[in-house]
Amino acid sequence: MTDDLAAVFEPILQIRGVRGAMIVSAADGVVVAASLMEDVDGDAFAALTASLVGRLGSLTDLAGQGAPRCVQLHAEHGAVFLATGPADLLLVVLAGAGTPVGLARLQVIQAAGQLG
Amino acid sequence: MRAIESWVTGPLQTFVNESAARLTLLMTGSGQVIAQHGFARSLDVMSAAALGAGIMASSQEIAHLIGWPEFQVLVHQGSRHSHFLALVDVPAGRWIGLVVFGRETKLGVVRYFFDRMIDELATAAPRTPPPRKVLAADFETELHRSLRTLFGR
Repeated sequence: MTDDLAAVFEPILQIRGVRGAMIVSAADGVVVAASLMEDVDGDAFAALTASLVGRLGSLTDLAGQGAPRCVQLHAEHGAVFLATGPADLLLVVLAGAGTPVGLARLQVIQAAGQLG
Repeated sequence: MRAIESWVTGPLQTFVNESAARLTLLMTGSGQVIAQHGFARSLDVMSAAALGAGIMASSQEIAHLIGWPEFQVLVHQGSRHSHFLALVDVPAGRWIGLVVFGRETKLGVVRYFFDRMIDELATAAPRTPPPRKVLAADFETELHRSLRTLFGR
Protein backbone atom coordinates (compact mmCIF):
# COMPACT_ATOMS: atom_id res chain seq x y z
CA MET A 1 0.00 0.00 0.00
CA THR A 2 2.72 2.46 0.99
CA ASP A 3 4.78 1.44 -2.06
CA ASP A 4 1.75 2.04 -4.29
CA LEU A 5 1.33 5.48 -2.80
CA ALA A 6 5.02 6.25 -3.11
CA ALA A 7 4.83 5.36 -6.81
CA VAL A 8 2.51 8.35 -7.20
CA PHE A 9 5.29 10.82 -6.46
CA GLU A 10 8.11 9.01 -8.25
CA PRO A 11 7.69 11.04 -11.49
CA ILE A 12 7.87 14.26 -9.47
CA LEU A 13 11.24 13.26 -8.04
CA GLN A 14 12.61 13.19 -11.59
CA ILE A 15 11.95 16.91 -12.06
CA ARG A 16 15.13 18.97 -11.91
CA GLY A 17 15.70 20.56 -8.52
CA VAL A 18 13.10 18.56 -6.59
CA ARG A 19 14.62 17.55 -3.24
CA GLY A 20 11.94 15.23 -1.99
CA ALA A 21 8.30 14.35 -1.69
CA MET A 22 6.04 12.76 0.81
CA ILE A 23 2.46 11.80 1.46
CA VAL A 24 1.01 12.97 4.73
CA SER A 25 -2.17 12.14 6.58
CA ALA A 26 -3.86 15.53 6.61
CA ALA A 27 -5.91 14.73 9.71
CA ASP A 28 -2.95 13.59 11.83
CA GLY A 29 0.05 15.30 10.28
CA VAL A 30 2.03 12.06 10.18
CA VAL A 31 4.07 10.65 7.29
CA VAL A 32 2.43 7.95 5.17
CA ALA A 33 5.19 7.61 2.56
CA ALA A 34 8.29 9.69 1.95
CA SER A 35 11.38 10.14 -0.14
CA LEU A 36 13.29 13.06 1.28
CA MET A 37 16.84 14.31 1.45
CA GLU A 38 18.59 13.16 4.63
CA ASP A 39 18.85 16.65 6.03
CA VAL A 40 15.08 17.12 6.09
CA ASP A 41 13.22 16.11 9.26
CA GLY A 42 10.27 14.34 7.65
CA ASP A 43 8.18 14.01 10.82
CA ALA A 44 8.46 17.69 11.61
CA PHE A 45 7.87 18.67 8.00
CA ALA A 46 4.74 16.51 7.81
CA ALA A 47 3.36 17.83 11.07
CA LEU A 48 3.86 21.47 10.22
CA THR A 49 2.65 21.26 6.62
CA ALA A 50 -0.55 19.47 7.66
CA SER A 51 -1.09 22.07 10.33
CA LEU A 52 -0.52 24.84 7.79
CA VAL A 53 -3.00 23.37 5.31
CA GLY A 54 -5.54 23.01 8.13
CA ARG A 55 -5.16 26.67 9.05
CA LEU A 56 -5.28 27.77 5.42
CA GLY A 57 -8.48 25.72 5.14
CA SER A 58 -10.03 27.90 7.82
CA LEU A 59 -9.07 30.94 5.78
CA THR A 60 -10.39 29.69 2.43
CA ASP A 61 -13.52 28.41 4.16
CA LEU A 62 -14.09 31.82 5.69
CA ALA A 63 -13.79 33.32 2.23
CA GLY A 64 -16.38 30.85 0.96
CA GLN A 65 -13.86 29.09 -1.27
CA GLY A 66 -13.96 25.65 0.34
CA ALA A 67 -10.90 23.59 1.18
CA PRO A 68 -7.52 24.46 -0.38
CA ARG A 69 -6.52 22.21 -3.29
CA CYS A 70 -2.98 23.43 -3.90
CA VAL A 71 -0.61 25.62 -1.92
CA GLN A 72 2.64 26.96 -3.28
CA LEU A 73 5.17 28.57 -0.96
CA HIS A 74 8.24 30.35 -2.25
CA ALA A 75 11.19 30.80 0.05
CA GLU A 76 14.69 32.17 -0.24
CA HIS A 77 16.21 28.86 -1.32
CA GLY A 78 13.33 27.05 -2.98
CA ALA A 79 9.66 26.24 -2.85
CA VAL A 80 7.20 23.92 -1.17
CA PHE A 81 4.17 22.55 -2.99
CA LEU A 82 1.23 21.12 -1.09
CA ALA A 83 -1.73 19.49 -2.77
CA THR A 84 -4.70 17.75 -1.20
CA GLY A 85 -5.92 14.45 -2.56
CA PRO A 86 -8.70 11.98 -1.83
CA ALA A 87 -8.79 9.94 1.39
CA ASP A 88 -7.58 12.90 3.46
CA LEU A 89 -4.06 12.62 2.09
CA LEU A 90 -1.73 15.46 1.34
CA LEU A 91 1.09 15.45 -1.20
CA VAL A 92 4.07 17.58 -0.14
CA VAL A 93 6.95 18.36 -2.48
CA LEU A 94 10.13 20.19 -1.55
CA ALA A 95 11.81 21.92 -4.48
CA GLY A 96 15.17 23.63 -4.53
CA ALA A 97 16.14 26.73 -6.46
CA GLY A 98 16.07 26.18 -10.21
CA THR A 99 13.08 23.85 -10.21
CA PRO A 100 10.72 24.52 -13.12
CA VAL A 101 7.85 25.75 -10.98
CA GLY A 102 5.05 25.44 -13.52
CA LEU A 103 5.91 21.85 -14.36
CA ALA A 104 6.30 20.92 -10.71
CA ARG A 105 2.94 22.45 -9.76
CA LEU A 106 1.17 20.69 -12.61
CA GLN A 107 2.61 17.30 -11.70
CA VAL A 108 1.93 17.79 -8.01
CA ILE A 109 -1.75 18.51 -8.65
CA GLN A 110 -2.05 15.55 -11.03
CA ALA A 111 -0.30 13.18 -8.62
CA ALA A 112 -2.39 14.32 -5.65
CA GLY A 113 -5.49 13.36 -7.61
CA GLN A 114 -4.21 9.78 -7.77
CA LEU A 115 -3.88 9.39 -4.00
CA GLY A 116 -6.29 7.20 -2.12
CA MET B 1 0.00 25.94 34.55
CA ARG B 2 1.66 24.66 37.70
CA ALA B 3 4.88 22.77 38.20
CA ILE B 4 6.57 21.15 41.18
CA GLU B 5 9.94 21.74 39.53
CA SER B 6 10.33 25.34 38.37
CA TRP B 7 12.75 24.50 35.54
CA VAL B 8 9.96 22.50 33.87
CA THR B 9 7.73 25.54 33.43
CA GLY B 10 9.50 27.15 30.45
CA PRO B 11 9.68 24.07 28.20
CA LEU B 12 6.15 23.04 29.16
CA GLN B 13 4.75 26.50 28.45
CA THR B 14 6.42 26.51 25.03
CA PHE B 15 4.99 23.07 24.29
CA VAL B 16 1.48 24.10 25.29
CA ASN B 17 1.67 27.29 23.22
CA GLU B 18 3.02 25.59 20.10
CA SER B 19 1.03 22.36 20.17
CA ALA B 20 -2.35 23.81 21.24
CA ALA B 21 -2.72 20.92 23.66
CA ARG B 22 -5.75 21.22 25.91
CA LEU B 23 -4.39 19.29 28.88
CA THR B 24 -0.85 18.26 29.68
CA LEU B 25 0.50 16.28 32.59
CA LEU B 26 4.10 15.36 33.37
CA MET B 27 4.50 12.66 35.98
CA THR B 28 6.93 10.08 37.23
CA GLY B 29 6.52 6.43 36.31
CA SER B 30 4.75 5.83 39.60
CA GLY B 31 2.20 8.56 38.92
CA GLN B 32 3.67 11.40 41.01
CA VAL B 33 2.76 14.64 39.27
CA ILE B 34 5.61 16.95 38.19
CA ALA B 35 3.62 19.57 36.29
CA GLN B 36 0.20 20.12 34.82
CA HIS B 37 -1.53 22.43 32.40
CA GLY B 38 -5.26 22.78 31.89
CA PHE B 39 -6.62 20.75 34.77
CA ALA B 40 -9.02 22.61 37.01
CA ARG B 41 -9.40 20.10 39.81
CA SER B 42 -6.84 18.14 41.79
CA LEU B 43 -9.08 15.08 41.61
CA ASP B 44 -8.83 15.09 37.81
CA VAL B 45 -5.04 15.31 38.01
CA MET B 46 -4.84 12.43 40.45
CA SER B 47 -7.09 10.26 38.27
CA ALA B 48 -5.31 11.14 35.04
CA ALA B 49 -1.87 10.55 36.57
CA ALA B 50 -2.85 7.19 37.98
CA LEU B 51 -4.53 6.08 34.75
CA GLY B 52 -1.73 7.35 32.53
CA ALA B 53 0.95 5.62 34.58
CA GLY B 54 -1.15 2.45 34.64
CA ILE B 55 -1.66 2.47 30.88
CA MET B 56 2.06 2.92 30.25
CA ALA B 57 2.91 0.14 32.71
CA SER B 58 0.42 -2.22 31.06
CA SER B 59 1.74 -1.38 27.61
CA GLN B 60 5.33 -2.02 28.67
CA GLU B 61 4.27 -5.38 30.04
CA ILE B 62 2.65 -6.26 26.69
CA ALA B 63 5.88 -5.27 24.91
CA HIS B 64 7.85 -7.39 27.37
CA LEU B 65 5.58 -10.40 26.83
CA ILE B 66 6.02 -10.36 23.07
CA GLY B 67 9.73 -9.63 23.31
CA TRP B 68 9.63 -6.15 21.88
CA PRO B 69 11.47 -3.07 23.11
CA GLU B 70 9.29 -0.81 25.20
CA PHE B 71 6.72 1.43 23.55
CA GLN B 72 7.83 5.04 23.60
CA VAL B 73 4.53 6.55 22.54
CA LEU B 74 0.90 5.54 22.80
CA VAL B 75 -1.95 7.36 21.09
CA HIS B 76 -5.64 6.97 21.76
CA GLN B 77 -7.45 8.55 18.86
CA GLY B 78 -10.97 9.79 19.46
CA SER B 79 -13.48 11.59 17.27
CA ARG B 80 -13.21 14.86 19.24
CA HIS B 81 -10.29 14.40 21.59
CA SER B 82 -7.18 12.26 21.46
CA HIS B 83 -4.67 11.21 24.10
CA PHE B 84 -0.91 11.10 23.60
CA LEU B 85 1.19 9.26 26.16
CA ALA B 86 4.97 9.17 25.93
CA LEU B 87 8.03 8.25 27.95
CA VAL B 88 10.29 11.15 28.82
CA ASP B 89 13.90 10.55 29.80
CA VAL B 90 15.35 13.50 31.70
CA PRO B 91 18.39 13.64 33.99
CA ALA B 92 16.05 13.40 36.97
CA GLY B 93 14.82 10.02 35.76
CA ARG B 94 12.07 8.62 33.61
CA TRP B 95 8.85 10.55 33.41
CA ILE B 96 5.60 10.10 31.52
CA GLY B 97 3.87 12.79 29.50
CA LEU B 98 0.12 12.76 29.02
CA VAL B 99 -1.38 15.18 26.49
CA VAL B 100 -5.03 15.60 25.60
CA PHE B 101 -5.62 17.43 22.34
CA GLY B 102 -8.58 18.25 20.16
CA ARG B 103 -9.26 18.71 16.48
CA GLU B 104 -7.70 22.18 16.47
CA THR B 105 -4.27 20.55 16.32
CA LYS B 106 -2.76 17.38 14.92
CA LEU B 107 -0.99 14.34 16.28
CA GLY B 108 2.13 15.12 14.26
CA VAL B 109 2.26 18.63 15.68
CA VAL B 110 1.82 17.39 19.24
CA ARG B 111 4.52 14.78 18.77
CA TYR B 112 6.94 17.19 17.12
CA PHE B 113 6.68 19.81 19.85
CA PHE B 114 6.65 17.16 22.57
CA ASP B 115 10.00 15.88 21.28
CA ARG B 116 11.30 19.43 21.33
CA MET B 117 10.08 19.84 24.89
CA ILE B 118 12.00 16.72 25.92
CA ASP B 119 15.18 18.21 24.44
CA GLU B 120 14.54 21.48 26.26
CA LEU B 121 13.86 19.68 29.53
CA ALA B 122 17.12 17.77 29.19
CA THR B 123 18.94 21.08 28.75
CA ALA B 124 17.08 22.89 31.52
CA ALA B 125 17.34 20.12 34.10
CA PRO B 126 19.60 20.93 37.05
CA ARG B 127 22.75 18.85 37.26
CA THR B 128 22.01 17.47 40.69
CA PRO B 129 21.38 13.91 41.85
CA PRO B 130 17.85 12.63 41.17
CA PRO B 131 15.37 13.31 43.98
CA ARG B 132 14.99 10.71 46.71
CA LYS B 133 12.40 8.03 46.15
CA VAL B 134 9.11 8.50 47.91
CA LEU B 135 8.50 5.76 50.44
CA ALA B 136 5.06 4.20 50.62
CA ALA B 137 4.68 5.56 54.13
CA ASP B 138 5.27 9.12 52.87
CA PHE B 139 3.27 8.78 49.71
CA GLU B 140 0.05 10.43 50.89
CA THR B 141 1.90 13.36 52.45
CA GLU B 142 3.98 13.82 49.30
CA LEU B 143 0.88 13.59 47.14
CA HIS B 144 -0.97 16.26 49.09
CA ARG B 145 2.10 18.51 49.10
CA SER B 146 2.36 18.14 45.31
CA LEU B 147 -1.31 18.88 44.80
CA ARG B 148 -1.09 21.97 47.01
CA THR B 149 1.77 23.21 44.87
CA LEU B 150 -0.03 22.41 41.64
CA PHE B 151 -3.34 23.98 42.61
CA GLY B 152 -2.22 26.60 45.06
CA ARG B 153 -4.38 25.38 47.92
